[in-house]
Amino acid sequence: MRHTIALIFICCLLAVQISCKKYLDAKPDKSLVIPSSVADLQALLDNNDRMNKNCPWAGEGSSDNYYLTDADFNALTQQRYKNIYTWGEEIIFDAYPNDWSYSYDPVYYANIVLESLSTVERTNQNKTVWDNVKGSALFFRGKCFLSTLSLWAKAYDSTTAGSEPGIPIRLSSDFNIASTRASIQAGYDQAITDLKNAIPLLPATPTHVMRPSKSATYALLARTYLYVQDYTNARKYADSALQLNSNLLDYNTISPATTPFPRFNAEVIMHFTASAMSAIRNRIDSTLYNSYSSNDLRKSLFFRNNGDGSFSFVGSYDGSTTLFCGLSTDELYLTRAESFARSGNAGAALSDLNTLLRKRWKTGTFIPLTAANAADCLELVLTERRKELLMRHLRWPDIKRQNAKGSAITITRKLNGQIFSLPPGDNRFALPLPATVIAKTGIVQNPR
Amino acid sequence: MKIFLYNLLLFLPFLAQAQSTQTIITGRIMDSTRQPLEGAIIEVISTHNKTTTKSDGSFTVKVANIRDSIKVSYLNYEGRTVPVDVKAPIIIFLRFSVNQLEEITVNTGYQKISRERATGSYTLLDNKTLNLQVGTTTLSRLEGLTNGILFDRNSNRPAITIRGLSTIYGNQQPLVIVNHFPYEGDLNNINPDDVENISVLKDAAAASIWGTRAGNGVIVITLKKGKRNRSLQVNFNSVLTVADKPDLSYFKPIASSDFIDVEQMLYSKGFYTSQINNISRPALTPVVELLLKKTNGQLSPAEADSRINALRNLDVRNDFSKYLYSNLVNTQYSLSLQGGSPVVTYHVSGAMNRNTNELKATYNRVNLYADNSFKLSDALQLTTSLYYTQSRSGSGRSGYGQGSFNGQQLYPYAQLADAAGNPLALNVYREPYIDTAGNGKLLDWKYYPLDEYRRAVSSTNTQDILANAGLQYNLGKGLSFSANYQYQRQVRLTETLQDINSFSARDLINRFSQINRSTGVVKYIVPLGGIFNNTKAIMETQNARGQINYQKNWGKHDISLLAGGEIREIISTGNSSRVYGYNDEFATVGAVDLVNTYPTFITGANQAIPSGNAFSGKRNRFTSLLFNGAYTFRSRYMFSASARKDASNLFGVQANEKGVPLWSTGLSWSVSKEPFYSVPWLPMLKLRLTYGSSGNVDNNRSAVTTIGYTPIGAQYTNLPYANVTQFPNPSLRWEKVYLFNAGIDFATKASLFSGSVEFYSKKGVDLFGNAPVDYTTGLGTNYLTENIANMEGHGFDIQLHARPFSGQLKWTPTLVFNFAASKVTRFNQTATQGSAYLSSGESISPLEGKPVYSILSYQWAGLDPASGDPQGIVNGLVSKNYTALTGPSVLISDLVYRGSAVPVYWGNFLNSFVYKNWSVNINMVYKLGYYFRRSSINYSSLFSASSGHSDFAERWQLPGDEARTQVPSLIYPTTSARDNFYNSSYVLVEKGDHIRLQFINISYELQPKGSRSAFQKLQVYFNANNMGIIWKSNKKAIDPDYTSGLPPSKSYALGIRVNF
Repeated sequence: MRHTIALIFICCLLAVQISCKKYLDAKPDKSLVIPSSVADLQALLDNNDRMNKNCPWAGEGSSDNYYLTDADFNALTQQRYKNIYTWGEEIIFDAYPNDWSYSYDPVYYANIVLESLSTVERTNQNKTVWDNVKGSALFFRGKCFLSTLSLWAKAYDSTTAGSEPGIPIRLSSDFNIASTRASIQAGYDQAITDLKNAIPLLPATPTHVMRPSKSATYALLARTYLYVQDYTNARKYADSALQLNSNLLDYNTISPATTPFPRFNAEVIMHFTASAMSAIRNRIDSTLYNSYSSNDLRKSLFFRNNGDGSFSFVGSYDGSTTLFCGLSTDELYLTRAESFARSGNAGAALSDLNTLLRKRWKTGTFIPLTAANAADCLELVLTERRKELLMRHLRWPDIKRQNAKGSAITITRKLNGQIFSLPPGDNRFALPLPATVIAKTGIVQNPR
Repeated sequence: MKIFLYNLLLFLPFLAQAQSTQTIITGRIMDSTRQPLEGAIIEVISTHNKTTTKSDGSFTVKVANIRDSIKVSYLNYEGRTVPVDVKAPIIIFLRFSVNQLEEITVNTGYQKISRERATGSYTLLDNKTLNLQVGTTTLSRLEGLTNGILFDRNSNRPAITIRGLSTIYGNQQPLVIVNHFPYEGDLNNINPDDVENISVLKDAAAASIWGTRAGNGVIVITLKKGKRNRSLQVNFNSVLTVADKPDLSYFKPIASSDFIDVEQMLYSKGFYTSQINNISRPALTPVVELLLKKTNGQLSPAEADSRINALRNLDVRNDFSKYLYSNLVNTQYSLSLQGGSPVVTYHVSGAMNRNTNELKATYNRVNLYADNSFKLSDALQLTTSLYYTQSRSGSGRSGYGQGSFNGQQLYPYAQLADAAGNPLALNVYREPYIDTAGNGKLLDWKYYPLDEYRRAVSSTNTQDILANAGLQYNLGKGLSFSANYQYQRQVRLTETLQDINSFSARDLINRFSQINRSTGVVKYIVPLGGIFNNTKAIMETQNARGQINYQKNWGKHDISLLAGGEIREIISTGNSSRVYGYNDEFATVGAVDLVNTYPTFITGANQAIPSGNAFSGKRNRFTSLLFNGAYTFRSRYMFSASARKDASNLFGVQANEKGVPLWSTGLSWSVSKEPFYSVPWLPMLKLRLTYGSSGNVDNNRSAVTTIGYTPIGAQYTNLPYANVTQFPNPSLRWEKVYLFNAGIDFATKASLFSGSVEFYSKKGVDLFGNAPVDYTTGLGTNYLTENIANMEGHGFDIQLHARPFSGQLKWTPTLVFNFAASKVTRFNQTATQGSAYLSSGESISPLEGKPVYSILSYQWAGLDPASGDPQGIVNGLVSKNYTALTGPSVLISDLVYRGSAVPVYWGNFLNSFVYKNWSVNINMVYKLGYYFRRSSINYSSLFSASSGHSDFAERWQLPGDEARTQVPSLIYPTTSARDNFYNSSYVLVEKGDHIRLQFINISYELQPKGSRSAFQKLQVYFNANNMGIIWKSNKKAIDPDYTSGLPPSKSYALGIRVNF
């Protein structure tokens, strides 16, 4: 009897240990998953906080759409804000997270998705989602490479782009692979490759503008080609995007308010936002403000009187105080117009420009613009581009590429009796990389 | 019924003895070496008459009759009960046993080993020691009394550490065992009155018995049980504790007048312009509003100035103290019954606690406990126990320094009530805005601190059932097996109701209100009514263990083996929900649209109504195999070994990587039992040695990338979305810790001195730490767990008891002295910024040869005599370049080391005095050899977050001030780097050494003779706790244990304990 009991007991113990393996295979947390289906991967890409919000804003912060008074500047509590404003020393990306991490976090997700997707079979049942997931991952990766280039690399110049340091191109999720800086050319090539590969995979229009689509990819390619001064392709892709969505808001239907524009309005092709310092929108450059005609509805819808002669910016397409930095049709009209103008087609350029502006002016007051020649026309397009797309995080790359094409835009700050200026071609147009990244990887820092 | 009859039988002799005549007997008490024992206690069984022996060991005592017996007891000797002999003096020999009067066994949770047999390192606390303090929770009663345990009040470090830390990154809490199994519920559930004793297991033997979770030491709580053949015992205990109102002057905020001066200066510089123009309308302080009115001409300069000056003498701490703080009052009652027949034992108890803290937060707890054992046959025994806890905690008031609005701390001149005591409002939005916004159509948009705690209340109800059943079957021939099963279920319900009058509800309703400008009709997107949150968390654990024990004794050999297996499962599920428009009176709710966004009232920005719905489900499983063996030769030489393998259902890890093998081995030698040993003054001497290893895996370790879904869909799209939660890090290895322990237990003749001295050393290899990572990789973190360091530590645990007086007045001092030193022997990270290591000793120190937790600072070169700017050293030169002083170019080697961040020496000195029925216990606690960083003025935080410090008044103002102060001058604009430099500099490091009077306990015990009394023993006791610091090294009025929060107030308790 006793031995039987002992035997049973020992058997029980052994049984427990043998069944252990199965017992320990239970999932510790319901919410945890090893990404194995396209739905899991789509869920990563639908992480809007990581993929769509938190775009870098240091470019807009370094640009000339706004100014700070001495008092405003002195009241800035963060040294990095002061350094962004004055293109100062390395203390810009000292805290974490920062624009650099916001730029590369989506790249990691895109790489995870692309790598995991190779283990998921594309079937008749899942092919639409499968394609959308792959296309979206490529889109996000290309988009991040492009915005990173526009901040941390010098303006594209086809003669030097092959040798000037660009950005790290991370195409694997393996974090043990050390980061290195590829050339500017390699960076743009990768962004264009990713975007082009995404086109056949994505739907023409998305289920939601938080998701990528063909039209968003065309729009982003148009922007990319503008940055590399390939105006034929810029026009081609802007045209493709506008064929899918050419809606323009009639500003006569928008009433002035604290935040007049609705989020996800008809012009938005894909929604992105950036969390900038609040001081960035408080005082708009007065020359810029004064350049709007009184019949131009943007003057009343974009700006709010501070009561002291200065105006703050309230025209975000996010419908909030958060700045919009996504893709929209108004940018495409301006991109196509600029491409036409730069290739000598002033008529087509003016047509695009007037189509846009008609929707921006008070009904019945708009007199279509005319230009004597392509150069005058280009001047008009660039002026309207600045007036339409301010606070969209496009000004900084626009200054860089226009200066590269001979515009002489110098940004000047007057502070506490001191003058700071950033002349064309200055090294400081390429922002400094985070010091911790430099220390860890040994990659080359941008000279200041 | 049987029990009752049995108890009646036991009482009968007492009833019979009253009429007997009395006889005097004499005798002598000696130890086994025929040395007389002075001060041994002789108790006559029938009459409870007591006497003590003289220096020659002799005694004289009256007995009731010739069939009477006497009981002899003597500290550290085995007691004996012998029948009286009226014809001749009795000579009684007592055998030495160091722990006879204390608890004699160590409960490891798997087995009880006699302390004599133990080779490992243990601290035992008996019921009496635990009762010296009156805290509501069991662990709080260990504080200041436990050899080897350090209680740390720095909230960034673990609260309880045993012999310092063994792991840096893993779970740093010691493992707590209740009865047989790890306790997964809330430890506050266990009523201290139900605790029989606590064993603290400190060395590798602990880890090898309890596995990976035991690397930080194990605390085994043994609950009270009935004993065989004991009559019914009823114990009642009641305590009332009252604590002083907290002294808010311990906080050191900037003075109101100074703060107003700063506000005026900032206003004149245009600092508030962006806040004034902010379309979100964040509130301005009253002074800034007045200054603005002055500028706008709404107030005359004289009127504005006089209103501002009227605020200068206010101190919001007074209002907090007057209206929100009160005395803490705790009451405890407990009643227990225990006893046993030869077949059945029982212990039944019930307890009730009602606590109200200084902010009127309540905690009420009811405990019910029943433990039984049944001898089913000669070989089979069944034990069952059931522990039930129900507790309810209710929210109190918001204390000083708690909460902030718009990232701003409360300005120091805020007023909470008017002269008549009526609640005053604080503004969250600008007053001129909310006064006119909505033309009176909106709900009141102000916040009333004195009203809010009545309007927004939360309560948590916890129900916990711990049920345990065990079978022990004796197979004979020394072989036995036991099986134990435990089930625990804890259900915790939290309800938070912010009623319609609470600020939180009014604010949300207003923010989503839409007013039709022409009709004035208000459309409520968030329905009018309260916001009601419900959270339910259920934790269920199941433990099962089977164990075979073998015990054999032949001749000089004694062997004891234990082998077993264990499985454990912990399931936690939770859900939370929120309803809007809740009306508590009718229990009605409103419907809301959580999907679409709506324009908000102030800025018009579109927002969705926040959802409060979430679900979670977790399931952790563990399996273990364990072995423990001990061999004793000639009852003098003991060898022990144990091993264990743990495995768990780590996600994304291959099965063969889920386990961790651990082992330990030990030796002990009872020198005093050797035949050659003849040291009469040192009758007991024992040497012990153990060595073993423990390890730790990073629970976030994974072989594959895993993702985690978030409980709620994405903000705009409502689509499910996920985060990457784990990524493979193949280079990660286990942390390994090797522990060595050597101990000596000794007692001198008659136990004049007794105690133990233990030396231990530990070596940690591949310890985890956070290493900076190239975040271009996009991992979503800038630090990654890596095996960054090796460490070595050693220390002493010394416990000394003495009995200098043992006559009428007994004085028994106990000194606990702990020494723990550690150093980093290897640090893998290079090119690391110094700024990452300026914490107050919460992260592993990067300096080789320096303690694992060190205080590191920027070098300090005093204030600039011309400007009062703080100065540091760059490349050997005095510098004010704060970018260079604090930036990435400052490497670890540029920092100055001051000392350890945790005490190197600590312990307590407990003095017990017993005189007749009185006993007094005074306990002092000391912590020495460490440093902390005090806080000071940070001008950036002062400007941006209204967070000031009284050091402001000490600041440099004029040349020459640098001789009297080290507080930098006020400058505007300031740079955060200048403030960071000063606040992390060497000048703010203070020595932490201090001695504290932990408690004084005075008790009076009444043990009436004879049986007519209603009770056997009655004890009335008074306890004064947290009596404050007796001596400290720093001169700054800072309690080094409480560098950020308030130290606990002095508390006084009066209690009564009755045994029937």
